[in-house]
Amino acid sequence: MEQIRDLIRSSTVLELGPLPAPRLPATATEAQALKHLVRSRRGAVVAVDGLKPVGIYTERDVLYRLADGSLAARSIVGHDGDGKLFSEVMSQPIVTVRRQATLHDALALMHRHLHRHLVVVDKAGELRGLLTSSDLVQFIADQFPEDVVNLPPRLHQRLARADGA
Amino acid sequence: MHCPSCGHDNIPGEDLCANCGMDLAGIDVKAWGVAPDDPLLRRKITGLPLKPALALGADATVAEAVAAMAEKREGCVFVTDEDGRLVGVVTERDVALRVAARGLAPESVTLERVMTPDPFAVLAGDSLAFVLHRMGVDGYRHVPVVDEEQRLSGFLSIRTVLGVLAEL
Repeated sequence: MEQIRDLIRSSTVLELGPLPAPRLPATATEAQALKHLVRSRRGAVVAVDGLKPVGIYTERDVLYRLADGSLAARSIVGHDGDGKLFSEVMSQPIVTVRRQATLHDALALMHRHLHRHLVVVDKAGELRGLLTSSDLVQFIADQFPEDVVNLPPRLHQRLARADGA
Repeated sequence: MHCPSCGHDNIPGEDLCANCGMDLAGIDVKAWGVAPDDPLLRRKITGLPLKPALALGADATVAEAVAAMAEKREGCVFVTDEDGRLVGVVTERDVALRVAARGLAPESVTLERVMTPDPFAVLAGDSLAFVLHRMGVDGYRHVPVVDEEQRLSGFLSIRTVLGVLAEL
């Protein structure tokens, strides 16, 4: 039996299992990146140059681009020439983490940078995965004893299958 | 194994709750690690820094929701009825998936069309462990906190949770 504070210090990113990283060359278009983003359900797409990650594009970026009017609906459906390139809209610099890092290191990085995504890289700096805040929370919650995650039935809990709420 | 939604006591290893049909896969993962007396498991939502919830009516437009989210730098707006009761949620993922990727104009779509109705919500007296579990299993990043009448008092974001975990 361990304490959670010890568990997150002794477990590494590697132990989380596969961490799929949706990726596209930085030379792709924003419309392609957006399609990839929503299809992957990982909350972000990594821009790559070969095997090296060079930028990231998240759901939050989409929100801000809609808010300031720079992401127009018509450029997504996309037959006009207004569409931006992925490299023009991606965020830089990216925050990376090695697979050997502990979960505590990863949590601290996310907390410090206020990012919910860390780009997982190997020694050569090549893309190995995408670590999301949900991946970390899921791993930690999976270690809880069964009875603490169950509650008595309550009227206000309904069975709606919320979509990414 | 008790269903987290309806409390029905299922045969261990069941994939679906025999009573309400909730997906139990992932709940039955063997818990090898954490001691039941871990301090984190005793924490309640009360005492955590809840964020004030952005709330709009179901007839507001996605453009209004996007502007509010961008201004407050939050990832969701909650949809409430005229009595302030929670009826839905629209997240940044919904905006990307159901509006931007479909090429819809945000000012022409109402929240009612894109919201997730009757979202998962918790009471202030519920345990943090329960919220963490649902965030993990269902991928929720924003969990509304309501009172017994479904009135919204704030929400718990995954960023707040990360902060709690990072400071352990």
